Amino acid sequence: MTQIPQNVVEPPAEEPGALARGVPGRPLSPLSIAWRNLRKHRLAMVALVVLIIMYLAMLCDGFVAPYPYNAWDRQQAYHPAWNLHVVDAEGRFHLRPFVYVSHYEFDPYRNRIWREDTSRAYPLKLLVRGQTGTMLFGLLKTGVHLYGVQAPARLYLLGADWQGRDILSRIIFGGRVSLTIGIVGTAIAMIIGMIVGGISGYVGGAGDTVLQRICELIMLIPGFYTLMILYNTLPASLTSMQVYFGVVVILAFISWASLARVIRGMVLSVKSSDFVMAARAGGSSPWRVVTRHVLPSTFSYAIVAASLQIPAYILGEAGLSVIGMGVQEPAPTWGNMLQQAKSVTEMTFHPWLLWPGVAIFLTVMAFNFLGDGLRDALDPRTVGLKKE
Amino acid sequence: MPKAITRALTVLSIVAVLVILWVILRSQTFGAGGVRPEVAGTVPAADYKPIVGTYGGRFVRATVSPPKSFNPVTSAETSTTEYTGYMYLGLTKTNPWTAEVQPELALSWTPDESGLVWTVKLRPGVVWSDGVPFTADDVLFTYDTTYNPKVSSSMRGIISGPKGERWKLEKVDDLTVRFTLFDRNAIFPLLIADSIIPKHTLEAVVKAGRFNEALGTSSSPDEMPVTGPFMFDNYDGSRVILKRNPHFYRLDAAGNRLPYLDEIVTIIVPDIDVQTLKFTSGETDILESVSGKDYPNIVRPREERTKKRPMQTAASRPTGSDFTVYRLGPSFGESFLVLNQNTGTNPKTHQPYVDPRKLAWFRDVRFRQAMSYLMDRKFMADGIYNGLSYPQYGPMSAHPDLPLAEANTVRFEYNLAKARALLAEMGLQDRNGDGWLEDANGLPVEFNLTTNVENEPRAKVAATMAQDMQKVGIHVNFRAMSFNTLITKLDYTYDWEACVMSLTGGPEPAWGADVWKSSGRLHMWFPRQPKPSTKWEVKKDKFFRLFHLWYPLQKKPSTKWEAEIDECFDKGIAELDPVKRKAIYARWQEIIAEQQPFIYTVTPENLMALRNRFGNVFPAPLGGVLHNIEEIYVKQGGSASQAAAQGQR
Amino acid sequence: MGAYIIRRILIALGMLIGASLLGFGVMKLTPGTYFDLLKMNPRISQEHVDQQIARYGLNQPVYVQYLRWLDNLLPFGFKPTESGSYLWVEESPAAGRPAQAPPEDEEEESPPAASEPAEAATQPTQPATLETQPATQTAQATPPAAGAATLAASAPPAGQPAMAKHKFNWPRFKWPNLGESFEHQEPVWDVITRPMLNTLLLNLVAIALTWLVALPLGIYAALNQHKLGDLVLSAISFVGMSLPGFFMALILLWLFAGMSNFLPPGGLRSATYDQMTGWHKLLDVAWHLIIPAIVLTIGGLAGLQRITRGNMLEVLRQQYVTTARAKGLPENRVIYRHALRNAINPLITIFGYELAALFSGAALLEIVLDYPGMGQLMFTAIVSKDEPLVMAGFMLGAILLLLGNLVADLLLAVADPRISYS
Repeated sequence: MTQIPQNVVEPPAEEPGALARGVPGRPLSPLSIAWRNLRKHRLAMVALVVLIIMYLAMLCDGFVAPYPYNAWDRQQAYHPAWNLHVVDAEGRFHLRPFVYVSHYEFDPYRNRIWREDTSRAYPLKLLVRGQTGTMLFGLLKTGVHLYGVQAPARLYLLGADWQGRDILSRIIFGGRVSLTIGIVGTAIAMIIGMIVGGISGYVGGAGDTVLQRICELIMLIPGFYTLMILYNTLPASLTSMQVYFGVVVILAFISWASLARVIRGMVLSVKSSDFVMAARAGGSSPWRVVTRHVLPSTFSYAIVAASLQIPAYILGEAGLSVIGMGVQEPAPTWGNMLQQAKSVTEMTFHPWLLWPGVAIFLTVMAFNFLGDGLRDALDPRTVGLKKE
Repeated sequence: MPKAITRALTVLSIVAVLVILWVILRSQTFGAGGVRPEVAGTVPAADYKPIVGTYGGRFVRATVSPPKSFNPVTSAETSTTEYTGYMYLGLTKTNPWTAEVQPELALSWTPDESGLVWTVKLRPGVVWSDGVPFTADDVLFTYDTTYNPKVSSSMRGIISGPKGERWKLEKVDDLTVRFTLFDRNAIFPLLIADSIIPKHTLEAVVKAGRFNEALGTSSSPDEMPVTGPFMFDNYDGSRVILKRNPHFYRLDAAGNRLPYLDEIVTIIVPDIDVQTLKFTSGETDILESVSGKDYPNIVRPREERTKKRPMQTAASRPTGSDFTVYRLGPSFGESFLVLNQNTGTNPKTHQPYVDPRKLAWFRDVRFRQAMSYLMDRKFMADGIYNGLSYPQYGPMSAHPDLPLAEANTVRFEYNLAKARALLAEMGLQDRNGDGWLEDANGLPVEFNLTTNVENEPRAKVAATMAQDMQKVGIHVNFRAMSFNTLITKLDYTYDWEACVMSLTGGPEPAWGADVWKSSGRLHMWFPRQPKPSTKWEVKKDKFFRLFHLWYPLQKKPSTKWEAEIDECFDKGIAELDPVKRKAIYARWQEIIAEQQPFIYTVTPENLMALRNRFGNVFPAPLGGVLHNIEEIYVKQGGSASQAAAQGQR
Repeated sequence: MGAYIIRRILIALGMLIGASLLGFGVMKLTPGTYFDLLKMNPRISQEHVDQQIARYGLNQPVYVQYLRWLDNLLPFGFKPTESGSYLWVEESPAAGRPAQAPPEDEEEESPPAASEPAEAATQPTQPATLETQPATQTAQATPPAAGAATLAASAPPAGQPAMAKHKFNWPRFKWPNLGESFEHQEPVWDVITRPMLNTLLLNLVAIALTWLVALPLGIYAALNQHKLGDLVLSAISFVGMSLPGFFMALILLWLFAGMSNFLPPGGLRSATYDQMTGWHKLLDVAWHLIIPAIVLTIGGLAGLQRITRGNMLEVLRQQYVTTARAKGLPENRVIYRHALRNAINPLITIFGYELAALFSGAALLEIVLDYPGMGQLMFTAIVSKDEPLVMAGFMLGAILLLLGNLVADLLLAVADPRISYS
């Protein structure tokens, strides 16, 4: 059999501590070297900051979003984006932006004609009390929102959907699914991949053959078809939380095999390296050798692979949701929000429904940049090559 | 510093993309100017006066799914009937305005005094498209085939009695058939509207036992002679082409043989959105079943296109807005909420299908009425269909023109307070001040609501009602599931609680016997009852005993209503006097409106759009735009090729 | 080399059987059948639905259904009837018997020795379920005398003795087939050929475009490293890599079809396609291909361009390039004769993987853009549980993946003399 060439990082050939060559004084830990390298990669740092902001917003979603995700207002269906004003009806400028209460009527062609009631302005306020939402994955309740307007008026920075729900709030809440699915999924795939790859590579023999065949089988099945078929097998009575985990497991199921194969290859090469030989000769149990010596040396690959795989999970979930296979309404995910925008009429008349796509785009790009930076930062070959 | 530049450029391009997206995503951005298409309604029946048209032209329509077969006996799905409806005529047809039964291949049908024997006189002079005359033998053959146990006929169950009784057909002469029925059947004239198939080509096929595969999509046109205005020409996987039947029996006022059109081309476009785009871009001539949601897009102003696209041929290519949108009144695809009232137990696990606590609510008419009060039909119309739909309160109320339509006396308009009051009367109220309802034992009021994922408007209707249920304090868990899963629950396992569905409806209630009679398999709230469930209040169940405290207090136990519905349908089908029939079905409607086994929501408006280049278009509320397809022609002043085609005739 | 290929193919066959088991098993986890769709129509009787279910054997145990499917695929067949026995058949045709007594109902004699597990496993078929469906049984079952001919093609020869007699059923050659689609009621192969060709067309166009654009751009970027062009390209490729295909498709659809009618909204052909002349037909198809091909190209472009650039840079750093330069060869010759060849070698494997993704790679895009290809077909088939069709698409995808991997490895061996297989 051949080793299919993979466009991956090769495992460090030496003990990680030795990497800090060219640095005078005490040897740096691999992590701090990586961090130092990463900091030089400015785009990756920007991406990291963007991601941190996104994850913070997602964790504090009930606080950051002006409305809970299911806060409907049927009078405000399809409210257009951005109703914040600084110039009032009389043409006076206000430093503090404000909104008007608005309502719509159908014209004969069933377009919504929006009119604003300019008699009273509702200024934008920070730390405003509003509808109670949840944050930290629903663990905490909060009635206070970072910003918002007073009750009869509603703030629609990115417009509203068919039930008058704020798209921006839903995007922020949608992060609960879309931002975590990659991490959870990669973690699952990584655990399976490490176990299978580790066993396969370290034990070898018949076990290796069987495991490799299983991996090949998983890699053989056409991904997207399998996703669709597997989604259809999820029982109907699941809650949206369970569907979420179902989707994660499905996504992990089709992607663990390639990880396992690569890790096996790395374990094979690490197994014969000096420090593992030394550990074995020192009488360490195989379990200890694998967990203490072999697997840790695959970690740098694992981290890079994870950051590069996360976008695939985000896209996989969104892709499935766009065609109606995923976490269902009213729980928001970026994919199922985009599903509403899929119809050309919706796109033409309510283009603000496409915003979740922008969120996907930004997240995926941030992860791509971060992954790129991490790859450079953790790649032992580039450490030496980098010019100071 | 190239690194800096690459960073700057990347950031710039991201910013540029975002700014562009911001500008275009902020608001409605389609261009002003251009012309809007016309909007029209239906034409009164009295104005139906077709004029003499001109020959030639093709008519392009789109459909969702490919045809599986052109066999009108074995397939009753839309994907078959949308073609066979043009190809095979029945003995009768329904009037597109009034739903009255009209002659087609039969000229008359008269019952004898018993109502069991019907004499059907056939139309003389009708020939199949291969020139063979149509006779009584074809009618006999069609019904023989339908009753043939080797043929997987979709109609057989409907025209057979409960013990397998069959209609007996006798040929009196070449143009007279005598039907002897096994019971009185008021809708007999409707039942014989089904397609008549040719004996001379299919007899051998039936004998060889291959009828189920006959008239398939790969059959050759020669194998399928027809009586209808169009005959099969070609199917290549993406387009079905029907061509003009030169032997169609009808003539126009000037004595020309109909139909006028040369071809009906049906292209298969699975996505409704793409169908819409194909219509507005001029590729297709008709847009059937427009959703109210897409209405603003269809009537939006469009620029007249002057430039030809490179691949356009001389064949007519209409420009932007040369079409008319027809608003045809309520359709028959209403969505309703149904609550599971099945008192049975699962034979395997000996568990009741429905939690007895919930079953008691679902079987309580006050609960169902409260649910009906929770239907925000106004928002369902506005938010889902852009206001283009009609509120519905009973099984037949939406369409004003139906012969059996009857204004329902009871209407449960959206009213949260009344819903709360009814629930409180049942003992379901907020007992601990948390905003959610509890029953007498302090247990929360909760149930699962479901619908199928595939139908977006229906899912939105369900989502809307779920919100209102939550608003009055019912913990309702809404989750849409796939159609197959849902049907399995409704049809086999019965382990569902509440569900939003719709059924293929029609102007004739008797068709719905399977839905309304308690023994029916589509009697969704409690299908296949051996007897109408009248015993349920006596059921000695430990949960039920708790409720006995208030059960006797109920004003009207109304346990017999299902039996009464059964009676309505049994009497209705046997009653040949239209006035009495109407009274019978009015009673049925009253019961349904009062008992709310199906809690109706809204009926979308039937919308169609058709190019203006066609003449003799008389939109009818029931028949739509194409009910007189044989008379529709391409108006003069079409493209050069059509003029040439007309010159050749 | 030959032995290697044969070994690979043998392994592949085993893998395919595994994949089919996996696919079939997973699909059977969901309740319901395709024919549930018919049940919501009051005009279709229950009997009709039951007949359809029995006709396709959906009332039989899952393993029987799987074996039925597998049996269709084999080039030789044991299965002339739908009766329980595969090895032994009753030599008595259905003709002349009353419909209430199908020929299968008494036939429960076990074969003396079930030599193959497959046949043994199919023995216990329930006559009870079969009995209720005499019509379809007789209509569908081909009499044993006709061997393994296609189902519909043979009528029972009249006048045979009604006495039952068991006879060993020799496997006979038959054309492998993929079964019959529930939805289309046609052989699966007939259903999928056209979508398959459409998908191939789209993907080949996209692959060609991708390579034609990405290779020159990658080379250009490598040769002009850190210059403006390179930087613009890498910026664009980052954006292109991160823009989800379906989102890009939606935006393009909205801009060019929804708002301006400039491009067709989906599909592959206009309604007036067959009135066109040859040249116009080609243009028409090309016109419809623009949006999906652009989306696919942009999706693949970014990655390929970056890899080309990386490889090229790597190669340009190699000593032999320096040597070539030192020898005084003209720069063009150095780059295009020495460097490029070695830079492209690793890309050849990518080509193999692209081949592998030929069928299922653009599935989501096809669904979103309503392109009449395999993705679209599979989506509807999966949702409606049209199992034979799903299995066919699934297996074709798997076969292509296998082939793609094999081709990738072989191409690599061809391109890189250092690699050899034994």
